[in-house]
Amino acid sequence: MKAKTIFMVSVVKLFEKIRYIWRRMNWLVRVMILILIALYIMAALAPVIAPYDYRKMHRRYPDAPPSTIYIGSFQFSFSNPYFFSKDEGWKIERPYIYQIKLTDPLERTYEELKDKKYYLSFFRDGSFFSVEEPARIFVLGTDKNGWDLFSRLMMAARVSLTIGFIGVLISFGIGILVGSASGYFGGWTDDIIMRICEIMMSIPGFPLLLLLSMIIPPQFSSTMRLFMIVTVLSFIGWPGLAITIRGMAASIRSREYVMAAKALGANNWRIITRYIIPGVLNYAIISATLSIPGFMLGEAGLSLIGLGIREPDASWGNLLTAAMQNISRLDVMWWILVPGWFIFISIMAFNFIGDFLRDCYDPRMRNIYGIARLFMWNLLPSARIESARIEKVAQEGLVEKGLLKVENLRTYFGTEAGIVKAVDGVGFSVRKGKTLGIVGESACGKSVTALSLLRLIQAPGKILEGVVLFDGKNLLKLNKHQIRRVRGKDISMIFQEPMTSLDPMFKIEDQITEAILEHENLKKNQTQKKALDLLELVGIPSPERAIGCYPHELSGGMRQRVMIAIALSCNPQILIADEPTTALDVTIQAQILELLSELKQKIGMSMIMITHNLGIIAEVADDVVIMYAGKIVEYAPVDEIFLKPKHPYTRGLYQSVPRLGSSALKIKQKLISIPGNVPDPLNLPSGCSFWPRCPYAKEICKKKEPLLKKVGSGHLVRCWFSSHRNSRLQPAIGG
Amino acid sequence: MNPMTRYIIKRLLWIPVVLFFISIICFIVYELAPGDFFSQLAMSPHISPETLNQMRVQWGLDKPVYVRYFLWLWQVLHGNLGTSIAYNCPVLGLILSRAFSTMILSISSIVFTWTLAIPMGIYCALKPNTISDRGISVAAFIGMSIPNFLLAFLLLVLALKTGWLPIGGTISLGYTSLSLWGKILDRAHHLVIPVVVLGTAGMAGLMRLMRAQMLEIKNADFITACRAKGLSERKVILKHMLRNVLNPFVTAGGYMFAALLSGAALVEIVLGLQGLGQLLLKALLSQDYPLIMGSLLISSVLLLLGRLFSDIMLTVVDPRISFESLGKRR
Repeated sequence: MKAKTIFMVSVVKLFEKIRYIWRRMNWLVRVMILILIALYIMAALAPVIAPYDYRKMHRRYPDAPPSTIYIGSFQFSFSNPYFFSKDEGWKIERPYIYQIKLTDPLERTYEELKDKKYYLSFFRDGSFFSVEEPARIFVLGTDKNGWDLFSRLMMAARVSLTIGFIGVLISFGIGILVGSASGYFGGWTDDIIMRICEIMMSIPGFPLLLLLSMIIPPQFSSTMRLFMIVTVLSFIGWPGLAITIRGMAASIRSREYVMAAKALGANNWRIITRYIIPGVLNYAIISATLSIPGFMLGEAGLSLIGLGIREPDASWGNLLTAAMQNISRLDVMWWILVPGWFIFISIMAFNFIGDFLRDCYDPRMRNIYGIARLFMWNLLPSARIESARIEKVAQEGLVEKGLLKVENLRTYFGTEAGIVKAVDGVGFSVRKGKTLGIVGESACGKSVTALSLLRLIQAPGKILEGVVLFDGKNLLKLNKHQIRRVRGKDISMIFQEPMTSLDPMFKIEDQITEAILEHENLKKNQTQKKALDLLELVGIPSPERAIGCYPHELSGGMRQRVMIAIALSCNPQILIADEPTTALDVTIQAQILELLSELKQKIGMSMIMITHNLGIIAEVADDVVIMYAGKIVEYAPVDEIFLKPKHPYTRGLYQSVPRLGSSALKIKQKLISIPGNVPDPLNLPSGCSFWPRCPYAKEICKKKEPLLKKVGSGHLVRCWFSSHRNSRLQPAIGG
Repeated sequence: MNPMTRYIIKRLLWIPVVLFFISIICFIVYELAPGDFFSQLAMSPHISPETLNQMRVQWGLDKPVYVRYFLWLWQVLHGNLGTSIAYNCPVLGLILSRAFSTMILSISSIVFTWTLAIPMGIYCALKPNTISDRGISVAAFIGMSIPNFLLAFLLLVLALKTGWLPIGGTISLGYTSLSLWGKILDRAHHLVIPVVVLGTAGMAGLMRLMRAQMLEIKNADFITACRAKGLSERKVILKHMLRNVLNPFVTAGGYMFAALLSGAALVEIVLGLQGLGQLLLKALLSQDYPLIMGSLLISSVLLLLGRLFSDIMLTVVDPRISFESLGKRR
């Protein structure tokens, strides 16, 4: 690729990043950024802002107080009192000051000579503000040498802010290069570099800093000294960064796209610059922002001991030190410590911004929403306060059908981008001893439905409406102790990813016994025996060995069996299985399904099987619910679903399963799929959510949402066409 | 021999090698600085150059660099850390005499920091982005952003004005005449300012770390699975979540202890505490090389041992980490 294209691409990427970050900013971060920009502008314009040369000693005014500026009937001074107004009416005039004279050289007291008013002039003689000689304007007063503190403060900004910035640049430049090289090349280079870094990090930081600072000869010029201090400071930081970067580089190196690039002939240098460095850059920038405070503090610390920037040069560190050492004027302390304020504000800003950047790039922080919205969201009524009418309807349904009845369940998620209606009016029932299958593509709301049944939905989600009737109680209305008693005991759940569904820190035994002891009161050896029995029940060979293992020591299939064992430990009436076999390979899949069927028969429990695989449904389900975009689109017994699918989506799903053996029969078969994509949950289509992908969509579908209508015994469909008993849909291919 | 012993022995054997290199680096850096201990005294008109040279010979400062280094190394290998030029007593003795105060300060600070930061971090993670979370985070940032010595100074001024707290120092004048209980109270009284100063800086970082870790864990699959078992929220948090976030804290803990011994130097100066940090600082400024080398050596040893300890604790705490993987972790 041409260099120019690469450059353009990276510029575009940079813009995207900035825009992303900008959108995520809250007001506080913006304030901090503005503060930093203001500080750097102040530093850049320091010679203009400062009325006097910072090295000029105003010998006739040692330890002068801050000048009082008179503006009409107001007087401003940074010392006592800060902002004072005389009540002589509100006059605003041109500001002026009086000349001051030293009255007592020992006590360093001054008096104002009120004979002549010296008016402030702005933008004269290359200064932002100044007064005519012989008056002097000391915004912050002078120190014992007669230096104007305000001028020095402005010039000091240059020094301190530069030290932070450039020091970090150097330190991180070295760290990134060394770390990337070490992580990428590996082998000897890696070993040696890492040993060196380890040794350097074993020397205590601050003493090393001092040792290095003492090397700088005291007679160096100010710029040389500044340069040397920056170098010394950067010397300390880079080993730590190099070690982390090396880890990241090593992991990037083993990624597939890097290996592919290598196979295509890219040389080492190219790989480092194109893949490794961009990959570590995010972390490096965040680290850099968070390290700048360290550099500024390092400089301040050095100044405290006298090894930092030396007078007559000014840095915030040495101004602060000078102030702390001349603490004779305790009552006016706070303005003496103004350098401290500046250091503090700069460090705060960098820390804030660095932390904010870190949150930006953290994929887990994606759902952060503002305080106000959270407050409003929390105020929304949840399903605890529910209308009696729906309950009554559901109650009737329950008596009819059996074990569990869900009616009008609504679970919404409040995200920054809007409200996601994950489950939008779902209702079904589970019969005793039977399996209900819930089918749908990803993000259709099936997992959220399952979690809602047991009230496992966490913020920003909320179950807003609905009734879940079980055993004569509405589960959504129970308090937290009561629902805890249902979880794991009457209704259990197993999850999709066996890798991450077991706590890696505890042995299998602990996790099973925890579940048992939560609901039953058994003695220790009894629980252990029960755990072993359970493991045997789910078909784990040598349970005595497995029981002492940690989750990471078992295979995926084993872990899933353990999860099933945990779920069954208290003989639940309903088992909710959320895609239990999706993460497993096909042979294990078959075993697990068989196991579940066996257990179902043995114990006589009902099951809710959530999956996107129609094959599984065909095998295990008795009733089927098809979900799309948070709603039920078809609900029927399993035979009906396969023999007489009514909803276009169901038909689409059915058709997209390829037929085995078609090539042997020499039937030409295209891979049929449902055109289009799953709708964006924040932007659902109007009317029927499926119309953009539906081959039968008509005008009415785009305008009005169809309701669930009965089309056969126990068969409900949500479609304007299929709702008719004799629908004109073509029969499904292959019957 | 089980893997743990083998690992420990390997690490322990590596420590002297590291120390050797550290000593070389420190010695070289020290030598690069102009002058030696007696250079400052050269400023004074009362002391003649001949006397200074005589003292140099007495202390062996006239010998070339490498000779001095090997003499020092030889000494150390025999267990003798040398004699401080400034104090004219054995380095080891000096360090040990200050060690007690510094140890108390370090331990108190660590206890203060951790007992406050961990619960606050957990609380903030459980209610993220509420006003209390934001408020505590901002307070943590403020604590993190004030330079240590400045905070010490401000508290000192506060103590001066209000008289509630002693103005620096570790013990009061009449310490030796107090009862045991009185002694403990006296020390505690003097510890308030240093512990607050040292604690606030560390607390912020720790709290943010705990908050970030807990937020990460909160959405883990197994936490939902634990809730589905019917466990109480408290158990889920304290038993499962906490165990899983311990990892970086074990590492942090190992570093914290060693860092406190040297990083508190500035605070010790401002508050007038007789600690190890201040000792090292004075030694550095006066170029008292036996004391410098001895202190640095001991600090480095503590750092390395702290790191070894935290690595071992990692294997204890996290069953996924074995001793083999620790080697690759570096």
